[in-house]
Amino acid sequence: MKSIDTSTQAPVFELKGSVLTVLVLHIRETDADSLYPQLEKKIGQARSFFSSAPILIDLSAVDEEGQAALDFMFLADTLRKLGVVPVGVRGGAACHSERILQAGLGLLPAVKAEKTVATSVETQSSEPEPPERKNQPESSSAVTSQVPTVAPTKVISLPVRSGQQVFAPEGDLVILSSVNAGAEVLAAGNIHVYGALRGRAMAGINGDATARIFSLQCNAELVAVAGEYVVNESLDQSLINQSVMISLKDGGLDFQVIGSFNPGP
Amino acid sequence: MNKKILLQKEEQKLAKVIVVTSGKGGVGKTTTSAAFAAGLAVRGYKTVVIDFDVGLRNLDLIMGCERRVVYDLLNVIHGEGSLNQALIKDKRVDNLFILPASQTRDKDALSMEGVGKVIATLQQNFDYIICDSPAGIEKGAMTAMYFADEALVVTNPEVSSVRDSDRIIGMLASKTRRAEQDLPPVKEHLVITRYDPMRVNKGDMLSAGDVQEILAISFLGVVPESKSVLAASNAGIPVTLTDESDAGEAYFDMVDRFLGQDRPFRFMDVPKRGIFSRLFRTQ
Repeated sequence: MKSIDTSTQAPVFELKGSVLTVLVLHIRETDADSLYPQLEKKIGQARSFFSSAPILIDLSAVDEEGQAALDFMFLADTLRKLGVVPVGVRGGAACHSERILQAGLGLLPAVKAEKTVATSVETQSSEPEPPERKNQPESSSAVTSQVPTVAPTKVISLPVRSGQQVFAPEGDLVILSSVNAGAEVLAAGNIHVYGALRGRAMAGINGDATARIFSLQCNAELVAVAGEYVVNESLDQSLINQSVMISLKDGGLDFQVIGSFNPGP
Repeated sequence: MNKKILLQKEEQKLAKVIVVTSGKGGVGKTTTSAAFAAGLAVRGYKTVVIDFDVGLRNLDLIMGCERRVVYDLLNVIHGEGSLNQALIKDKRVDNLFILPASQTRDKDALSMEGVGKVIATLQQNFDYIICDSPAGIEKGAMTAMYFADEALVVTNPEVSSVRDSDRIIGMLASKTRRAEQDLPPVKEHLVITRYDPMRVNKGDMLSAGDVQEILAISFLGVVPESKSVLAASNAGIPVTLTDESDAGEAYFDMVDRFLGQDRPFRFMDVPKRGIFSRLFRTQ
């Protein structure tokens, strides 16, 4: 490599931080006989939706035995064959880092230990619950350094225009105007839209299943809580343009009309 | 002689740059640019209208000066002609000038710096600079809006036009010189063109209220759907310089409102027809 005189050359690239949303594959069981056929079925069903989508593999719900039994190379290959792009693994125990890296996957810190609604029955059969929850924060060094604090709420007072994206990586997001069609609002926590929600709203994007979406006038293109999503076509007619609260219940989205809204003259 | 120079120095205010943009194509940007510029000139302001649609230039046709184009914006930017050689003076109205776009080159030949210099020079000599933006959100449109102080967002009362206008408004708030340099933001004005109150009443067309609700920017006025627009276009006359045109009157209302005067909003309701016109079915 020839030495580069950086003092006179104009920079040919920039390294910048960026915030992205990514699909997360939360694995509950790593038994090859059930995992791979189910993956092929689910992803195969909606190939165009998943096509070339970057996907993050989350192992927080998988116990030590399950993680040890998982062949990361095979999993990565299977996912690639199905058309998705596995970018990394989070929530994996430190002892598996070597194997994960060898499979060409990145290592990401686990999410703060939160109790998820869909706790699987299969993996927790023999171990009692309290010790397991205590173990989770220790398995990932990134989590222990995080003291639970209230994350600041992001407040936006202007309309979110088509093509714009507003992201609150921690905490809640409040929009004091409308979210127009073609716009996206995402938050780790709750989303409140004090106006018309005509675009996309995705709450609980880091996996917080207790997140909710509130809007004064709901006619969203797509709403999602912790990955579970519903498109406009599937919204009940009685909800359109009403004040609606959306939450995650029993693995699906629950819609409740919480009032009516008249925009006024 | 000295008195004149003193006066000139006092009056040296920079021209206001107004971009006429929409996102969607075919909604009436060039018609509006021509009509608005001509309207301002008629009201006594020295105005220049610049065509930014490189390769698909139309402004010269609409202004009726297509047979007098020697140099264009790109020639000026690349130093192949001076600004004075490129500017075309309108034959009908004093104070009105046109700077056409190039037809033979493509939009990649536009440079932000070059355009900046041209606008800076024009700002010294004019009261208003109208930038006729091309459709889309590519280089041509971004360059046209970059130096704007105010914007006329032209929208048809129709869903795809409204969405594209929304996109453009988002860009006016983030990809302009004012946004990048933390100056007071570009002032946006909503212009709804091809408005037909009968179809609005029937429910076929979005109402001005609906459009305003979605776009949430200051409302400048509606221009009714009018046969005079096509006729004026083909004749190469800005619609505000034609006689007896409802669209022309609507544009003049908007010019006056823009200049700070109060004008009632016309052309928004179905005209009431008297008994005779209904009996004899006259237009």
